[in-house]
Amino acid sequence: MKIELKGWKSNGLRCPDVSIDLSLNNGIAPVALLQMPNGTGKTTTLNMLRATMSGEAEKWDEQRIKSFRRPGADTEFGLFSVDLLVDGKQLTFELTLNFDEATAKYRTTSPGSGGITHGWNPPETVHRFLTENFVRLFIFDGEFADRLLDSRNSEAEKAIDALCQLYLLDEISKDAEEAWQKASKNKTVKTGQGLESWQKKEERLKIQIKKVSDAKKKAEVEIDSLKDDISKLETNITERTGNQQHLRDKYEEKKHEETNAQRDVEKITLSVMGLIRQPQTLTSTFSSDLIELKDQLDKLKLPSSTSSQFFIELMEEAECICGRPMNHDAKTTIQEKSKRYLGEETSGVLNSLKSDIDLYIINEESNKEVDLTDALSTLDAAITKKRQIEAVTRALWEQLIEEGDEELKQWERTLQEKKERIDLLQDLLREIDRDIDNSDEDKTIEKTSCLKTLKKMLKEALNKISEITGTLELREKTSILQKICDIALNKSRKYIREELTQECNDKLKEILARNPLQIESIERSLKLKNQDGASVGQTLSVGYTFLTNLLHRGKHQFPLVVDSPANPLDENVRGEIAKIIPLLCDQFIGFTISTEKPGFVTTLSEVCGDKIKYLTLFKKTDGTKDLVKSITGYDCLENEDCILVSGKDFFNKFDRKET
Amino acid sequence: MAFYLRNDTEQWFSHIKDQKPYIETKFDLYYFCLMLGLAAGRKSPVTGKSDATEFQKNFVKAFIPVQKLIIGLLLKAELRRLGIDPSEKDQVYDLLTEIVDPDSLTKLTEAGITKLNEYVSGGYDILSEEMPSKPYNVEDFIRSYRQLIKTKSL
Repeated sequence: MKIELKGWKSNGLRCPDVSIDLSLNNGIAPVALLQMPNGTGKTTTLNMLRATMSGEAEKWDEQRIKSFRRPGADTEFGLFSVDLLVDGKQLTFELTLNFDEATAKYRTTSPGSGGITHGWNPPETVHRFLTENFVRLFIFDGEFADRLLDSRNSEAEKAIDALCQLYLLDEISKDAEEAWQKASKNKTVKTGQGLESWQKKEERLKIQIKKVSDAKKKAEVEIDSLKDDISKLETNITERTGNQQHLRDKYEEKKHEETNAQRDVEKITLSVMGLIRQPQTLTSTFSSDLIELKDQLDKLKLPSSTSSQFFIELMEEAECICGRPMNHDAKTTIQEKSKRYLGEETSGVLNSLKSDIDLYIINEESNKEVDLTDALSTLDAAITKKRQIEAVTRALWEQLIEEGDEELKQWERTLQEKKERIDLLQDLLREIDRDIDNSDEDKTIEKTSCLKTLKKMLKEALNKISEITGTLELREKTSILQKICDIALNKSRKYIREELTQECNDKLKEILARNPLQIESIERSLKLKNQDGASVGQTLSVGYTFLTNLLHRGKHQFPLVVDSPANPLDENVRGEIAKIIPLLCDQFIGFTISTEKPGFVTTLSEVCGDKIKYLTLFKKTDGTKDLVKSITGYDCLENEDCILVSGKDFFNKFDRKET
Repeated sequence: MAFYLRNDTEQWFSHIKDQKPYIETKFDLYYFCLMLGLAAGRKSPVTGKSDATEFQKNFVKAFIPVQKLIIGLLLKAELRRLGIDPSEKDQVYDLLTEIVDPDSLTKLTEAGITKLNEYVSGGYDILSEEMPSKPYNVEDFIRSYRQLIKTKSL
């Protein structure tokens, strides 16, 4: 699917009353640059573009609606309409804000599917690409780039799922579930089989699983965010306490000792565990028991030198070893007696046990029990030493904090609170992820938080319903299909993330050659390598790189609308970004200010030639009177409110000092 | 038949069960309980699969060198528990054939593994009764564990 932005119109809003047409040479301009000085309504235009396309304004409250009214104006209505082309077919959304009644109303025009309709009604095929979250992917601002890097948000994951259509796997799973539910509901069953109660149980379990899964996700996000906060707080505290140099040195020295002491404890614990895995070290009783067992077996001549196999083979002979014929009576007697002899293999195990007792206990030079006692004493000493050092380190730390200012103390308190919160959340995650045990038996479904237990209970309920309704085979097939979808989703996410990380890093090496920055991994958000934070320019570069790579991978094409695409970037980085933009999307619309031209517009112009549509929009105010005079001879549209000038010459000539 | 660990046992060890490299596998937890059960001669039944989870079919690598010693300790504990006179060859022979299966990888019969699982269960009962709380780190646990096993040795 290809979605193109053909243009938009606005009237009675904070942004100028204007009609923007993005067509060029009988098509849509691959690149359109709309130069708007600060204060002309760029942010309002972008917000209205998002709201009109996504239908989100229906949820706006009174304050939000009224915030779009033009200051000082008493107009009752504000109108914004967006013209899209979906695979070449026109789709128009109109959003009318009634400022007096604080309402937002939509109209949709789609010639291919029903003409004009009231409400926000995109065709079904486009619906999923015009949700609030999805639209934010291609109507992009600096804040979105920040959110991509913020562990509290999951914009990166959402973007991947949406653009690579991973949601389809979820949909398959849901469709399969619905098909089974339909099949099981259509069956007539005998009364008294408890179908209704199992169906209610299924519903309760699904609700609880969703609740616990959401809690899990929330806890994971919060832990990531807390870790970031802790890391920043620790850096702040370290920097602040660094001023008290003498104390700081002492603290660092003790901290170093603490690390070494911890390492010693770990090393000794590991060697103690090695000893513990030998039973004879645990207690002398085990050694004496095993020696006693060996003696008993020896006394009983177990295993004996003759095995039961000898007698079995003897019975096959014509005569016994004593010379008597092997008749029926002899065979019966021998067979009976042979049962009191162990088989060769059992004898082998006993011999092996006896030789192990010899090897590990009787012939062992050192007393293993003493070895373990000694090792534990060493461990005791190492732990005591570690705890003493920890106490001193802690005291020095507290002294550093005490001698610091109030802010430092507050940081330390916050740090402790955040650490405690992480512990609490980790306990919760442990409970959610633990294996099934009998502690859940007495709990109601709503009190159970172990996911494995809940899923097992759901499986049982579904099987029961399948049994009652005779849809067991379909249930099994549904479960297999859902499992495949689940595995495919996780694997796809993993591979796409790995590939994207690689692709983005290759691109970042080129773009940020002078100040290299790399992505370590892509989880819910983007994680940077060896970096707690990034500058605005770096963030934007990473955001562009990620999003353009992602947009380029998907099967669908979307316009990329960017506010101030180059403003926070260094001039050399601007050039690199300008070079990649036309390669990575079919339609790029940049809202620029005049100061962005060097580096960005110049490079874009070199790369795209005459495929760029240049537009300049400015309001008619006392401060722009000189500009109004300069438009003579240019292709322009003028109304009471503003002037829109088309063309590269005026675009390049236009120069306003931005603040 | 396989090695089973009671669900409450795993829950009790939840804070240390993943503390690598000290705790390599679940068999370490199984072994802690088993040795305590064998030392104290205490068994308790493992009732039904819902209370216990199979985690391993054979001895893990770290315990293969002492596999026979463990079987020996099981034999000794059972001889003691059943009050079998060491000179009663037939009774010792019966116990041997009940417990030892040379053809299985564990060298134990199903009955042998069941008995082992029961000593593990008994050992866990001692741990949960005698230890003041669930263990939070391996280094503290192993020190208390050693003291406990010495006290409980018959």
